[in-house]
Amino acid sequence: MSEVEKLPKKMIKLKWNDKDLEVPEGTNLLGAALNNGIKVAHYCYHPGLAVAGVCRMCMVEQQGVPRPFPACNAVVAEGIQVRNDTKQIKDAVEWTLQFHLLNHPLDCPICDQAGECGLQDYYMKHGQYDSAMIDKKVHKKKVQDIGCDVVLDAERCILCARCTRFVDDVTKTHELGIVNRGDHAEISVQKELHNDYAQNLVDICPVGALTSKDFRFKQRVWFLEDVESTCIGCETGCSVKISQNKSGAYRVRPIVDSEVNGFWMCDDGRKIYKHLSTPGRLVGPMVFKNSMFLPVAESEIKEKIKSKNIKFILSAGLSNEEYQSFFKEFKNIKNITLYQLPKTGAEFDGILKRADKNCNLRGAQKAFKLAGADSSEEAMKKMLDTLTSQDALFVVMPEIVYDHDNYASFLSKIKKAGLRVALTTDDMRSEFSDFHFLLPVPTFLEKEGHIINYQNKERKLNKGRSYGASDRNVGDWAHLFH
Amino acid sequence: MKKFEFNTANKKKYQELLTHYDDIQSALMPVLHLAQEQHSWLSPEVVAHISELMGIPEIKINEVISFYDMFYDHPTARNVVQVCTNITCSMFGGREIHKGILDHFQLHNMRPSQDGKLYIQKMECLGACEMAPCMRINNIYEGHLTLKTAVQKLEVLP
Repeated sequence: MSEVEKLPKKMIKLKWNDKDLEVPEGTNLLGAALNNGIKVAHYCYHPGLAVAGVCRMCMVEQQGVPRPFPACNAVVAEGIQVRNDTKQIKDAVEWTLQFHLLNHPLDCPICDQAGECGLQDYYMKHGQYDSAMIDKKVHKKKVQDIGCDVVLDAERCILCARCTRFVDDVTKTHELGIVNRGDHAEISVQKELHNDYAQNLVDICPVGALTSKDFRFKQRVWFLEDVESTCIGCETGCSVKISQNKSGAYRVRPIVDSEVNGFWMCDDGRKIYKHLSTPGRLVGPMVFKNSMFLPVAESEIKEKIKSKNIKFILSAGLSNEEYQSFFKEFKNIKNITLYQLPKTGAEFDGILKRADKNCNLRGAQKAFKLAGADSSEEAMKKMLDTLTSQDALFVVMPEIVYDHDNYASFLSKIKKAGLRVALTTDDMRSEFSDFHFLLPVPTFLEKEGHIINYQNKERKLNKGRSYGASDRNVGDWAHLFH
Repeated sequence: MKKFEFNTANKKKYQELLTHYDDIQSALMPVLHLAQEQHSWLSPEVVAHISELMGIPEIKINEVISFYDMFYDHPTARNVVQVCTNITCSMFGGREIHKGILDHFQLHNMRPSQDGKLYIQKMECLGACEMAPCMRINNIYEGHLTLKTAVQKLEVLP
């Protein structure tokens, strides 16, 4: 991401086919075309990785240069005239693609990449259609579990080396390499993958060679719609998109955001969709009765809390707008504190992951300060220590929990309150049995709003489909008290 | 896992090899040859040791080993025999010699004999067409072969 920020200012003019381009000095020639909306077939080029120049798909001719060359391996220069629409280049791309497909198995119908596959896409444009195969295909190992929930199908690989460059340059863990030679060459793993960013390999693989164990065979990609949002997994706040449809949410992928996450996201962040469409999501208020949760009328809750002393513990994962509306609705309530998730893992892993798992701690602190409330952990501990049977304690549960021991010990301390109500995005799990009532609140994907990340940058949460009762946020439950 | 280490003489040779190149990666191929000379094949323990020694990830070393036919990632034997079957040698009966040797000693291509004496490998061009058909026994060229002379040369090996 730093490279993106450090782009030099001087602009260079060049011509691509008949289009005039103006790009900053030092821009990659292929990147210049792609950034300007020109579609150029390519596999190995990725703006976030070092240049490899191995797939030979982005061939161009330049006036005054005798032979075609790959555009990804060149840098823009003033006044150059580049073409990729001539007969020579079209033939070259067609023949290159034919080589890529020489040993490729024709298993698109059962391949999880179908629908977002570079081979399928470019074959429609550059394919030869009639098979010219005489020799037998070289068969390689399929369905190899290479660790970190990544599955490798060596037959489908076109050896673009994006994955090997990723583990060499980005994670620096060096697990992947290309072994053997010629058409026997294949991707191989040293023991197994061991990094926290392995799912990015699935994203950057242009074909179906690397697929995600978590996602494969769950949905055809053309039945999914993407909702752009922000990851709530930690304080980094990566820009992400969540793929979902009417039957559920299925995966999380990063969006390019040069200020925050660049091109990548961590594997923990990939799991933030899991609770969105669980079958046990609340459809309304619930009461814990005869050791199970049953639907309950709001009036019953209203009756129970009437004579009680109301206290609130908020989570540090709500949106700025929710804090705002909460403090507006509950301005008469004095006892409001904040439960912060404990730090987990290394302070910063050098790439994206951070120990502070509170995705909107800064937003929460700001809102507490504005309302004159104390957001510190001491204040929360003090509240827990002074709970009495006269108290009705409302706890806004965190959406994602990493440290389950800390969470359990937090839940064990609230039992002194006479009446306990959880506001949760989750389903009815056994750990909620200490609560008398459950109230549903929207998940991060069921509300519009903003959160503030560790850099004090504001990022947006967008509303997608809903899989449970999500029409009332925390502040909207205020009517119970009137 | 049995640990591999260069013996005293080879440790010296290793240090000397490093002085031939500007960077340590460039010395990888001669270092692998040196290790193979000592250990007869490049076992995972050898790769692990060289990786630690030279600071090169194991997968990068395996890439090199798997690329070249003369680096072995599986056990060989006391005598490594490479029989050329490329165009010139084939025209003079190279393929028949290769097959004939395997049949005579009842071996499979690229699998060591049970007594650990012979390891036969079918090769592409050995670069010695003038003495076709030819083979290499432990890096020494033998040319103008017939099946009979080839078998004789192998039978007297230690």
